[in-house]
Amino acid sequence: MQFQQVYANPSRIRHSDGGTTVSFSPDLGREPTYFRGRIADPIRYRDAMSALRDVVVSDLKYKPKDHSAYQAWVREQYIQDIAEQVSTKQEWVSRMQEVHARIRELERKMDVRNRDYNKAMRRYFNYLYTHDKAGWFVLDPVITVAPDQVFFEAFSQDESSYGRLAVHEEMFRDVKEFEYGTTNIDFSDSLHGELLRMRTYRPTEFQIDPGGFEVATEGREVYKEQKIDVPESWIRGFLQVQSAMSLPTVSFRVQPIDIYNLCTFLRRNREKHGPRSLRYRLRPGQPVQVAIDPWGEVLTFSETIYTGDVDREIRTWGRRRLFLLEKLLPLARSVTIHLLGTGMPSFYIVDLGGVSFTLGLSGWTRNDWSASGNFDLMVGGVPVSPVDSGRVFAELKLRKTATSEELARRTGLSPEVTQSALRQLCHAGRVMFDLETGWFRLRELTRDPLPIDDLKYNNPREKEAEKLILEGKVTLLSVNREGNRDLLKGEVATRSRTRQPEVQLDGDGRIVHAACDCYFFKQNKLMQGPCEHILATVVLYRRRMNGSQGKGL
Amino acid sequence: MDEQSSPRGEAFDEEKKFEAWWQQEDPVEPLSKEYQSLLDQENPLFVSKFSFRHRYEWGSHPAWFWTLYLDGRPLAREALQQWMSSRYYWFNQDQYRYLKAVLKLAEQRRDAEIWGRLAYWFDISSRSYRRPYSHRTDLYLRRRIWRVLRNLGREGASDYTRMAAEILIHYTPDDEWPLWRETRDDQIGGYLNFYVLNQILYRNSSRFVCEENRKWRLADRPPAELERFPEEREEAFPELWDREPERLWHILVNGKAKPVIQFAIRALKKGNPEYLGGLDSEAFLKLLNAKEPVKRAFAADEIIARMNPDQPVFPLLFNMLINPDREVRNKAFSFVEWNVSRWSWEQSLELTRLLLNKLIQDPELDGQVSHLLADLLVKVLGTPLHHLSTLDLATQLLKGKSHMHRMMVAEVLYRIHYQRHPYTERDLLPFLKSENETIRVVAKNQLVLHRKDWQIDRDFLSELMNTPDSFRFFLEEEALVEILKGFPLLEVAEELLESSVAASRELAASVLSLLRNQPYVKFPVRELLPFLSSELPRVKETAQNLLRYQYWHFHHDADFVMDLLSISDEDHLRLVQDTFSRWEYSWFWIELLSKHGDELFQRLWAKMTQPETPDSIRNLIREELLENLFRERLNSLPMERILPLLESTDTGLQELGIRLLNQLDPSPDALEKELLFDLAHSRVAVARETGRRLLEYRLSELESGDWANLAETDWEDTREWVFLRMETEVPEEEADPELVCGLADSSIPEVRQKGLQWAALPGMWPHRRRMVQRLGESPYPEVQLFALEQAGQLDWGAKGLEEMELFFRRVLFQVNGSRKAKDLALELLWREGAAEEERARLAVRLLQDYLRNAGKRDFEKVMVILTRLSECHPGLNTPLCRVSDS
Repeated sequence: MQFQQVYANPSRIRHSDGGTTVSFSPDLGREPTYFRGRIADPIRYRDAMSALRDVVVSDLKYKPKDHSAYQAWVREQYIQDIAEQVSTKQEWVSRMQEVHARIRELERKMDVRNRDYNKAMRRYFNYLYTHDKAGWFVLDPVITVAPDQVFFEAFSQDESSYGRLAVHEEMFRDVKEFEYGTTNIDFSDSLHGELLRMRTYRPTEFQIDPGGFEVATEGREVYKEQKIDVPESWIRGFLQVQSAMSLPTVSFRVQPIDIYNLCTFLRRNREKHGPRSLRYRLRPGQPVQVAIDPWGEVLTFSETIYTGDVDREIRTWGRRRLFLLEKLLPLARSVTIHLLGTGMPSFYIVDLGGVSFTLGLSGWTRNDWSASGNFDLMVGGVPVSPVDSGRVFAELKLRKTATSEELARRTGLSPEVTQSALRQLCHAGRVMFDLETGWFRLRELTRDPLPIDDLKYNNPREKEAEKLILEGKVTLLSVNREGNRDLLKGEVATRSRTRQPEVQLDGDGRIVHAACDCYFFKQNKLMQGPCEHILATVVLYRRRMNGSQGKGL
Repeated sequence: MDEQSSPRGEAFDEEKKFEAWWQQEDPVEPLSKEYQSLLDQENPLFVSKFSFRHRYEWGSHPAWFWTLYLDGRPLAREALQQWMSSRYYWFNQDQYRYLKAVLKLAEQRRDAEIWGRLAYWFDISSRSYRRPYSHRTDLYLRRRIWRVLRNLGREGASDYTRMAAEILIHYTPDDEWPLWRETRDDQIGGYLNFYVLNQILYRNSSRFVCEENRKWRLADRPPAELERFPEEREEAFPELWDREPERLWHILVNGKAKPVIQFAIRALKKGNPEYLGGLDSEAFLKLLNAKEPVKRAFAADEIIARMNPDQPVFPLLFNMLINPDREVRNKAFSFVEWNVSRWSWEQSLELTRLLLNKLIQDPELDGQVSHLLADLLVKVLGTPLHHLSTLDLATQLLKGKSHMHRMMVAEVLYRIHYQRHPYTERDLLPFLKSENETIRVVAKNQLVLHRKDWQIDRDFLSELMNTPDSFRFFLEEEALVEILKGFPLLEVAEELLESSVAASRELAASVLSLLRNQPYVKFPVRELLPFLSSELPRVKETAQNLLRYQYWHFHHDADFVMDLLSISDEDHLRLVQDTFSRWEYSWFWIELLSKHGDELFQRLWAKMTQPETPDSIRNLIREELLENLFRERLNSLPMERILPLLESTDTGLQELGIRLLNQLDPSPDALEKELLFDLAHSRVAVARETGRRLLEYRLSELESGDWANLAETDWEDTREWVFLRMETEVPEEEADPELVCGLADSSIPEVRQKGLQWAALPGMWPHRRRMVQRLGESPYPEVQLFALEQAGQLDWGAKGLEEMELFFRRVLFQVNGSRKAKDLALELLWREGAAEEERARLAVRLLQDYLRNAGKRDFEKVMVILTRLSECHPGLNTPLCRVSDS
C-alpha cells in the first residue's frame, strides 16, 4: 500500500540558551495539526519517547545466520577434494592449490591497502545508517492532538508490538496554540540522540510545527517527500492489535517491581526449547501469579489480588518484548495488564504520572501462518449500515473523545449498534479505543481511508474459515493431550462433503502438524499455509479455550 | 425376349404364337403388405415411403417396378415417377429385365410419360459401367426407341410429338457429364452422344451427321457455321411439330437442355408465330425467371417486342432492368435508351423513381445490377434524376453497400438544387464522414459553395475530428482554412491531439502551424505543453518551433518559465535551454526577468529543492537557469538559504551549497552562532571546515552550553577541533558545571567521557552537589555510576535525598544494571537513612518498592538496610514486621 508524506522541515531537537526545543514536523499532506507548549517533566517524556522508539525499531523475528562465506569455502574445498580424488589429474590439483594460495595472498594485500578506505567507508555508512536510514520505520509515527492529551502511536517492524505514548494535559504548561487532529511526524533516528539530552534543568518547549502549513503549496520548499510502500501485513497487524483494545479484557494492576522481576528472570535465563509462554494464573481473591515456561518458575504479584469470579489461566507468548518496558520502570507508578485470552494480544499500560505508555503485543511475535487466524480479532458485532457508522463517526469527529454510551445517546442509536460501529471504525483505523480511560478517540491513522475488505484477511482461506464458523459448520470433535501437544480433530461440513481436519498444536499453541482431506491440502500440504478447514478448527479451539476461561468473543 | 421369327422351315400355328411374359401383364411380385395396404388406402405416405425405401428394398424386389406400373392407379404411378425422377439411381441386372418390360408395355400403350423417361434413361446411359447390359443391347435399345418414334412420325401420328416431347424434356446439360467440366450446353457437340436426341432434333440438319454405325458427329463445315444457330428447321418431321404448338411450348417451358429449348423456340417462331403472339405476357414473365439463359433471352425478346415504345409498362421494364441475367438487362437498357426520347416527363420520372427506390430499398443490390441502374440514371435519365435529387435521397442512398450506390450518392449530392431543396452544413456531415472519397469531395464542394449561408461552428469541427480525411479539407481548401482560422486554433489542435484516430492526431501539427499567421493570438505556454510532450514527432516539432521562433504568442511571466520546466524529457529541456540562451538579450526576456524576477527566483529555488522534482529539471535549474539568470542574487544568498543545501541528500545541491558558501565568504561576525554551529556540524567536509574557520574568530563569545553543543557532533574533525580549542579557551580551572554537565549529557560516548573527566577535576568539587543532581538525570550507565560515586562523598540531607529519588529509582530499577551502581545506591541510602529519621523515611519509601526484588542478593541487602534502619530509628515505619526477640 502506498502512503505519501510531505514534510517542510526535518524534525529536530535544539539545545540552546539553556533550553531545549523539541520540534516535530507534521505531514503537510494531512489536515493541519499542530501544538505548542512547554513540557513540565522533560525526563518522563524523554524516557517514554525513548521507549516508544525502542518499540518501533524492535525486530524480534528470527534471522538465520549468514553461512554464505562458509558455504563458499566448503565449495572451494570440495572442488579441491574432487581434484585430489582424480589421481590421474595430479597436476591439476597442484595447479589449483597454487592458484588458490595466490588468490588468498592477493586478497590479503588488497585488504591491507584498502584498510583506511574501508574504515572510512564503514564509518560513513554507519553515519548514514543512523541518520538517513529509511528503513528504521515502516511508517512514520502518528501523533494526535486531543483535548486532554497529545499522544504518539507507532508499530514495530516485526509487526508484533504496538506502542502508544500519551502526554496528558497536566504535563503541559503555557500552551500557546494548538489544532486538534492527527498527523504523521518526521521522526528520524538521529533525533534519538538529541532526545536523550533532555534534562529538567533545561526548560523544554514542545511543538508540532505549524510553520509548514502557512506557506502555499506552490513555491513551498519541501524538506522531504516520500512515498512509502507499506506491506499490507504491517497495516493488518497494526489494526488487529489496536482493534483488540476495544475487546473485553481481563485486567489487573501490578507494581513496577513485578515487571522488573519478570524481566530480570528472562534476562538471566535462556530457554532452549518450548513452550515459551507466560501463564497468568488468576484465581479469585488470590494474588496473581505468573508461571514462566519451560522452567515452571512462578512469580507472585503479592500486591495484586485478582477480583474476577472465575479461575482461569491465560497464556501469552513473545514475552521478551516485555523488555521494551524496562526503561519505564524507574518512573512507573504502576503497570496495568490487560489480557484478552490465550494466544491473543495483551496490553501493558505504564502509568508514569503525567505520561502513560501503552505497550500492545500481538499473540505471537512471529505472525506467520502457524499462528494465523488473527482475523477473528477484526470480526464480530451486529451488522452496521454505512449511514449509522457515518453518524457515529461524525459525532466523534465533533467531540474528539467520548464513551460508547455518550455516543449512543447523542446519535440516538442503540448501544449495540454504536458499539459495533465503533469497532468497525477501529478496524478501519479511524477511531481508537483508549484502554486507559475507556474512551473512544478520533484518530485517523492514514490520510485516506484504508481498504478494510482487503486488509481483514491474510488470504482467502481465512475469509472462508470465518464463514464456516459463522454458519455453524465447524465442529470440534476431540481434543487430546499428548505430552505437551494438543491434538485436535474437527469436522467441517462443506457443500459437497464433510472434511475431517486434524491439527497438532505444540506447547506454544502453534500448528506443528496438520492434515485435511480437502483438495487444497492435498495439492499444497502446508506450504501455502493451512486450508480453511484447519484454520476454522484451530480458531474454534482457541475460542473455546478462551470461552472456557470465562470470556467469550 | 424380343419378338422372334419362327424357327426356319416351320410354320406357326397362330394359336401357338409366342407371347412374351410381359405381354401377359401379370404382376410377378406383389408389394409388401405394408405398401399394399398404403396403396389400397390411397395414403399419400405411400409415395414418400416408397421413394425413400426403394433404394434398399428395390434390390430385393426388383419386380416392384413392374408391379407398380401394372397397378396403374394414380398413387402407384406417382410413386413410380418420383422414383424415376432420381437421376443418380441406376439399376442392376435384375431390375433391367423389368424396366425393359415396362418400356415395351408403355410403348405398346403409348404411355408417353413413362416411356419417355425410360427412353431418356436408355439414351443417356452411354457409360458401360452404369448399365447392366452389353453395348449391343445398348445400341439395340436406342435404335428401337428411335424406330418407334420414326414409325410414328412416318404415320403422321400425333403420338410422335407427344412421345418425343416426353423424351426431350428430360435431357439436361449435366447428363453423364463430369461435374468438374463445363456443361454440355457450352459445347457445340455436347449432346452428340445421345442418339435418340440427335435423331429427333437434327435428323434434317446440315450441321450434324449420323454415321452408318449410328454415331452422330459434326459435319465437315467451318466452326463458325457450326456454331451459328440456323434459322432453317433441323428436326425430324417438322410438320408434325407445327401441328402441335402446345407441345412445343411444353418443351420450351419444361426442357432443360439448350438445343432442346432452341429447337422449340425456332419451331414456334417458324411454324406458329401466331401462337406465340397469342400467348399472355405473363407466360413470358415467368420465363424471365427461368433457370436457363436461353429461355430468359427468348422471353426478354418477346416482352420487348410486345412493348409499346411510347407507352411501355414500366414495372415490367423495371423487372427486366433488375433481372439477374445480363442479357435481359441489356435488352431492357437498350429499350430505354432507344425510346426515352419519346416519353413524357412524367414517364421519365416514373421510371427514375422506380430505379431510385430499388437502389434505396436494396442497399445490398448486386454490383452489376446497381451498375446498370446507375448508368441508366446518370447517362440516360440524367434530367429526371436532377429533378429528384434531394438530400434525403442522398442520405438514403448512403446506406448502400455497393460501389455504384456510393457513386449515386455523389451524383445526387452534386445535382441537388440548393434553392429548391435547401439544407444545412450539419446535413452534410454524414457525407463528409463517408469512407468514399468521391462523396467526401462532393460534400466538401457543397460546403465551400454554400458556406456563407451557414454557421460552421466548433461542434461541427469536432464532429469531423475523428475523420482525418474530412478534417483535412479545413487545412487544404482555402475557403475552409479561413473558417478554421476563426476558431481558437490551440483548442482545436488540442482536441485533435486527443482523438482516438492516429491520423487525426497528426493533423494537430498542421493546425498548430496556422498560428504562425496569427501573431496577435496570445495564450499561456501551459496550453502548449501537451504538444511539447507529444510522442508524435511532427506535432512536437511544430510546437517547439512555435516556442522557439514565435515567443510573442505567450504571456511572459513566471508561469511561462515554470510551465516549461514541468516536462522532464531531455530533448525538451535542451530546447528550453537553447531557447532561453537565444533570448538572453531579447527585450521581452529582459522585461520578464525585471518584472517577475523575484517570484521566478523563489519558484525556481523551491522547485530545485523539492525532492519530487526530477533530476534533469533540478540540474537544469541549478546549473543553468539560476547561474545564468540570477547569478548576482545567488551570490548574495543568506546563509539560511545555503545551509539546507548542504544538508540535502542530493550531491548536486550540496555542491551548489559549497560553491555558494565559498562565494559568500561571510565574515565571522555576519552570521549567528547557531548558523556557524550548523555549518560546523554539516555533513559536507568543506562546510565544516568553513564553520570552524569562522568560529575561530568568535571563540571568546562561546558559552558553556555552546561548547557542549559544538562538541555534540558525529564528525570527528569538528569534535577534535572543539576539544583542542576547549583546552586553550576553557582551561580546566575555568570549567563550570554547565559545560561539564553539557558534555556529560552528550549522546556521543567520547564527549561524555570528556565531560566526566572534567567533572572529576578538583575545580568541580564546589559544584559537586549540583553536578550530581544533574548527572543523575542521565540515561547512560557510566554517567550514573560516576554520579553515584560523587554522591557518596556528600552529605545530602532530606531535601537533597528527595530530589535524588528518581535517580535512585533509575539505578535500582535498571534490569540487569550495574552491580556496582546498585551497591553504591544502596550504600548511600543506608548512610543517609542512618543519619536522620526523615531521611530514613525517604530511604524506606524507596526501598519498600524495591523490597520484593526476586534477586536474592538485592533482597538480602534491602532487608538488611531496612532492619538496620528500623533499629536506628525505632519509630520508623517499615514493611518489616519484627518477631519477638525471644
